[in-house]
Amino acid sequence: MLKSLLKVRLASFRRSFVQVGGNKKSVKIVMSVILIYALVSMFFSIGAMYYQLCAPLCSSELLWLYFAVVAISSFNMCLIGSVIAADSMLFEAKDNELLLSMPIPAKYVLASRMSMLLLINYAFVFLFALPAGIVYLMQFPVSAVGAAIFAAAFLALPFLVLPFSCFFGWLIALASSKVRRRSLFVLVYYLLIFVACLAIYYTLNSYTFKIISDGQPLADAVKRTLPPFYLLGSAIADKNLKNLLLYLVFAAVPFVLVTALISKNYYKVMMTSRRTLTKEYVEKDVKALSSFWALTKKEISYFLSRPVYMMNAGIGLLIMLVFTIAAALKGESMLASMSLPEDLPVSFGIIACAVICLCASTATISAPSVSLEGKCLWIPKSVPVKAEVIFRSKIAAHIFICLPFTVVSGAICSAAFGKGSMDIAVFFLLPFSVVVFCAVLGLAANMKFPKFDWINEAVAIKQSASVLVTIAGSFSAVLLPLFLIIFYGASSGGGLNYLMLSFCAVLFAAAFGLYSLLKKDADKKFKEL
Amino acid sequence: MLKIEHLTKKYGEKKAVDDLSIHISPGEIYAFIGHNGAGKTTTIKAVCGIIDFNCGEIFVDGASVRQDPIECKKKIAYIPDNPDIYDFLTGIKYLHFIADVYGVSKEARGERIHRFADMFELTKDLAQPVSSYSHGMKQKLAIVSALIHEPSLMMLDEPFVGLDPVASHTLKQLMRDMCRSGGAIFFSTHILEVAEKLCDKVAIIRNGKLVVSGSMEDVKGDTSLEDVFLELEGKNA
Repeated sequence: MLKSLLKVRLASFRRSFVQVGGNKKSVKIVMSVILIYALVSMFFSIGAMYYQLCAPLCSSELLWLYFAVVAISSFNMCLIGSVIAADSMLFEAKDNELLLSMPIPAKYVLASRMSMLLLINYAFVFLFALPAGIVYLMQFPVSAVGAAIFAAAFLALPFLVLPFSCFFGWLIALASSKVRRRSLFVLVYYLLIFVACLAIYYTLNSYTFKIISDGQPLADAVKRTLPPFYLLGSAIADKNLKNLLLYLVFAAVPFVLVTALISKNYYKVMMTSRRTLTKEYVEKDVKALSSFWALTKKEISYFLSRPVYMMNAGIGLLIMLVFTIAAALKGESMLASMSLPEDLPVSFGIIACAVICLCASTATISAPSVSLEGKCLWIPKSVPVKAEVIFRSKIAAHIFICLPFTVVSGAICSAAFGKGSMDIAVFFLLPFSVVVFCAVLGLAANMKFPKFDWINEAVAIKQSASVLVTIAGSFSAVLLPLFLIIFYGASSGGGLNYLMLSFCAVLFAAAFGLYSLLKKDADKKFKEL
Repeated sequence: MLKIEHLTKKYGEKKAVDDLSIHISPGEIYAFIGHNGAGKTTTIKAVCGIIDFNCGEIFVDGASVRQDPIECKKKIAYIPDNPDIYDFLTGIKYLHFIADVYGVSKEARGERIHRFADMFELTKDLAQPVSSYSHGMKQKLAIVSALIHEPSLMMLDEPFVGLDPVASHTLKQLMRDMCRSGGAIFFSTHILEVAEKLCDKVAIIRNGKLVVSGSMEDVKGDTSLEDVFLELEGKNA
């Protein structure tokens, strides 16, 4: 029975990764290459970070701190990555009712779900521990016992994380059952995670230097407050089996206790996490809309109702706003930190505008919009509306969502860096042209690579071919020319603004051309989906 | 009201519907019966302009589904066998969305939403998100939304599945009322008793081909529709 449950879980897990490129072999190959590239890049950047730490800590006889830092980083990433998964897999899984109706003991259901959480945690541990291990291996000899202790310690790490994931997942399930706007609650949670990741990323360098220059205070703090990580570090560094055993006890006891506790109360937990909030219907005066506006409003409602959609397709907009405010306040120091060539005759305003364009190009709202119709595709297909209107509504929703961000950013840039009407025109028009181009490109990519067989919409939003193609397309069509204009156009004289505005015109023309292609036989193409 | 002439739809090499012809006049309720995979849903979807077809023609009130799909869709209401509805909207927002898309005026939609939602005892749940609806409630919402633009032709795919007895009774009543006022209904069902009591005409389809069609009396004669269906299935098996 447990084996069958595990098989089902694994199949669904595998499906969410394997189906990135749909069924076309060529697309699958390209997507696999992109994924491998991303993975290798992460391996190298994490490895480079650990490379800075390894030798200095070893020479100051704090090698255990090296492994403890690796374990703490892995622990944090596991926790951040698996809390939402714990909520959706353990407490609010869609098939809970189906499984509850079957003669399956709760402990088996729980075991199958927890196995998947462990698998997610192993992926994160692998991402950190493997580069750290390789870095160590490159610099120092490793005995078989040392390697075995390293493997045992990091293989046990996901078990140490799991009770915390379950606890926070349960808190989310409980809190979201008490709030009316669950999507807002989850969005705030995602944003907090995002901010935490950014904070970790930005403080990592300074921490690394602190550890290298004087690791002792941190070592004392870890030893005093985080005993499992000290035990793990010293077990590996000193090949201390006693500390390894103690660490394994630290990992196993909370895991066993939490598993037993949830197992005993699993039915109750699943039932109490149901949302029971109701709202009485009160008749209100509603304005009648045209079909275009009704469809656009529907698209925007979808976007605003799905935290996973907002976070993955729209986070660039938030970064755009944060960056613009920071640029206006700390322009000169930001310029210095960018390490640009000293003789580059470009104002910071133009650089800021380019970064705003980069952020705008990461908005992929229209890219999964056709796929997200999913099982409801019968609705737009059966209503008396031309496919062209449906396309326009999806593009318009993308533009309307991005517009406030680009307008505010343009206004801030104009106020802070604008030296004339041409500057102001560039600050407003260039990001807008990028938004329009990306909106059309996303829709075109989704019409070419639709994906309707998703179970979890995150698959369509994050892992579908259309989104990856849109990101790759917008980067190469927007950023590369922009880079060339800034670095080579600037030296051509005072015509940089003209070049930027010409590029705007090119982007608008490209968007128009792409849209004209989409419009051709639109009804037929939409019917064939 | 509806003319299906020599309709053929292929999926790859397989013919899902093979040279099917059916005519429905205003005021008629037409039952469409067949085994699972016989081609009922494909036929209904082709009429509603959801899927393309290989051969034949479909006319709704004289307009060709192929040449003038928008005009045809304005007259049709479609209810699928599994009412998957935008679950991020509330019931009332979904109804307003459909009313907007069909161009129903503010006054008319207000009155119709009120009337039909009350009929199906859905009014108090209209402020809830569709994601919280049961299958039956979604089916009721799909029916209310289908009636909002006063269609002259209703295409229903297994409309009684998931409905409680009261809602089923209400739907049958509505179907009769609609036909009395000149509309037409084409619906697929596996509940042969309902088809026998409710319909003026019946068509039985097997492996995409029309096996028998005509008035209910002519098709079933002195026996029941169930006997006729089972006999035909037995003969063709």
